[in-house]
Amino acid sequence: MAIQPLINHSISRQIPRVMTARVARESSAISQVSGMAAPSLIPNFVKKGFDNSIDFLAKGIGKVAGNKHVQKLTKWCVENNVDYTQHLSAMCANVLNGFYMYNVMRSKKIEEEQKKPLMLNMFIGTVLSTIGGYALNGAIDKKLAPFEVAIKNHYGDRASDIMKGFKIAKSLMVFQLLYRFMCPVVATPIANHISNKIRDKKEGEKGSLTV
Amino acid sequence: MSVQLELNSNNLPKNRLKRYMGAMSCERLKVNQSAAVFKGQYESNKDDIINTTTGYKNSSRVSFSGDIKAQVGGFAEKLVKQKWFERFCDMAQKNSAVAEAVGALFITCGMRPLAIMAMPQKDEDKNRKAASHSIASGVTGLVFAKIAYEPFSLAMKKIKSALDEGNGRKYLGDAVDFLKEQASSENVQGAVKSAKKKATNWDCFNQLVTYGPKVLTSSILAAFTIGTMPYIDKYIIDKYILKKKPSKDDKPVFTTYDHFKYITFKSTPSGEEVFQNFKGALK
Repeated sequence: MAIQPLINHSISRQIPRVMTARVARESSAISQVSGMAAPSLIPNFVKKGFDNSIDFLAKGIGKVAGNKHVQKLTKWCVENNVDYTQHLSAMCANVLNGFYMYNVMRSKKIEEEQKKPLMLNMFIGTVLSTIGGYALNGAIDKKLAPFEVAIKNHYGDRASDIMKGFKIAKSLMVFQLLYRFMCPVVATPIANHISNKIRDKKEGEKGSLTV
Repeated sequence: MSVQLELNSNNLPKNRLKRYMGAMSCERLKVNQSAAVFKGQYESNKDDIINTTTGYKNSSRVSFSGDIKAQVGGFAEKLVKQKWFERFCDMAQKNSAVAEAVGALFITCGMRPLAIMAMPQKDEDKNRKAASHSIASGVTGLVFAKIAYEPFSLAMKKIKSALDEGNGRKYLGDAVDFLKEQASSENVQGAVKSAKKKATNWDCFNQLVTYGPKVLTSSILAAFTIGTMPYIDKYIIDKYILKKKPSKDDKPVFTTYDHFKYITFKSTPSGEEVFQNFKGALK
């Protein structure tokens, strides 16, 4: 019985210390006190490479910031108090849907007859969602006063930062909700209605030919 | 706390009067020829409710907007205190592309699967597959956003810290002054207009840099989602959710038709019904 703990002890010595979040926290705390570098799972050369690439990207962004057109656009947005988030969000969704429409148009697998209603369908969904997104976002914008007060009360100095973030998050979520959730719900019945009409028309034409 | 209201019963329709009474749990006390007096019980400490309701004395209309405002205010206060709210707002400001993906995750993994599963359909597997596709698209969207757009926010963070240290010229060159100045028109157009402005050049540029790449690369994001979907279909959904037996003939498919199939949640390609099963374009 006395041998058992000894064996356990020797085994535990041989097992290397696994890097967990807790261990990393402890070691970083120790390093802060002692001035030694904290051990990490990621090799140094990977860290340096990543850091350099971010540096390179930051310099590229600096060049973009120096561009006159970008500066003009930014100034125009700020001076006219434009809610650029909603425009960017709508633009992103429209580009994406345009891509899907183009995909349908050039597809060889989808029959020619089906292409038009499919594209029309996407178009209706996109347009409805875009209009709805702008309308809903505008309506919510008018009722932000209680949130502004609550954020001011709760965050104090950071209130302006949080409010800016809140406004951006609100615009993003409104458009996401419409494009990803409401669009399928609204577009499907309209799509089905148009589809049925087209089908009925075709069947009528076929019937008249056979008679 | 009790509040007394006087309402002009001549001008007020009876059904509306009843509705107000019901909403306030009022007791009718006294009826005159011109006015009726009601007593309502409120359980609230909010001053604004009392002010708004008593402000309508001798008026023909009663508004409960004060009550609604208090409710919205209460909701706002509760929401603002949440830790995730602070984190999400921070993320939205610093990295809106990833914040959008996180928000989309909530929709695609929560609301949409629930809505799909609630739809009555003969074939339950079809609903399950559609719900799984929704979840998978949300997760792949987040993974792509984290890989592709996170570096832009890290680079902006670096620029911001350099600006704060007064070393912004290292990255920005001559554009330092442009991003440092706070809403340039403030100085020119006076304080009246500037009071409305809350965004600065930095805010706008930050948004352009962190979200702009998403606009430019949204087609690649779509291709990534579409490309990974057959594998998720074969190795996760079919295997664990539908519990199909894998056969040797099953191969991940990449035709355009099937791409559209995944967008429309169709589980089996069947000619004419493509259009009937259309359920939105954006993944």
